[in-house]
Amino acid sequence: MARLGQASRVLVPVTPKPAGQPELEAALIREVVRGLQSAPFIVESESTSDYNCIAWAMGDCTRPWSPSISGGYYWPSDLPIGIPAVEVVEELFRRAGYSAAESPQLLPGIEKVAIYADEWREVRHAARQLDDGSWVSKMGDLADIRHDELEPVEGPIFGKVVMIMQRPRRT
Amino acid sequence: MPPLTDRPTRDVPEEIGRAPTCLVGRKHRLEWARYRRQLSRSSDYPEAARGKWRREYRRVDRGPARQGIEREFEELAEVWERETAIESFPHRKAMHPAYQQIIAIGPPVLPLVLRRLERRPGHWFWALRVLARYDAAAGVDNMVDARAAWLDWGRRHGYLSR
Repeated sequence: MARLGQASRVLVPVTPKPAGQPELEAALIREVVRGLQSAPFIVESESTSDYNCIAWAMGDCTRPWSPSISGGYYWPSDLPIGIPAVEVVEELFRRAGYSAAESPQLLPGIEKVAIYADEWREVRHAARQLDDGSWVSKMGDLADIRHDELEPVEGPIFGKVVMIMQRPRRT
Repeated sequence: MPPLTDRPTRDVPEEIGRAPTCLVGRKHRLEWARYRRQLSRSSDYPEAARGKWRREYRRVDRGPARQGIEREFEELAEVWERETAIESFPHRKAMHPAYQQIIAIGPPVLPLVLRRLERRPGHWFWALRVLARYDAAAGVDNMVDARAAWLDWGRRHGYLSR
């Protein structure tokens, strides 16, 4: 039951602070994510370490979700801590109502998440699909962004998309 | 007890590791090794460690070595923040060489980490947990409260001004 109590917290609608200098935020992101140097994206928040990509994929911008050994991060107590393996993060999203999806294609009434991992199946990033088909990504401690395609975010930092999951879209 | 400078080098076990680069000279290295050895044997580690670390910090704080630590820490912290800003998970940030070098400086860097955390938020909880051998933010699930818990701990233990 404690798990249900914790999960209910993410349903509280909280909006990230908008970027004060979106051009500067965009430049910082382009500097490290090469795929975004040519692909369009929109900066939607300021840089912050208050939440991370997994949190934002879950719709939570109040705390970072991470299997950390130290306090300051949220992670279900019965999931392994340390390195976030794909299978562990998959279980995390399953508990939030997601199941495996075949493709990232937009479907009406369906919310999808994309999980990025490296070649050792360590999760490096996650993105969530909006109802217009675009994706939102929190870029580490930098801003969160909206992008049209999943591929430009792929690369040496975030790895490749290894899994798409879906659940009925919640209003 | 013979002066520290007369003690043979073999008294320093290998596993103690290297002293911070700011503690130059054989005397400093031996002192460093001795107090770490004493701490590791103490039955009341946390309390003994806190007192010893504070004394060590005050000693180093007085001299040019202190400025060396501060400069080294600030340079490493800038590199670490810049190069790991895009990383999403704290374990990846903590594995960065600059972060590991900060931890390797040892207890004298603890107040500097706390002061930096006081100036602005950051993923310092892993380093603080290792340096203090205590997690002031245990059970806390967000950055804001974890930062507040560590700053409160730092003030209560004399590492930060109230």
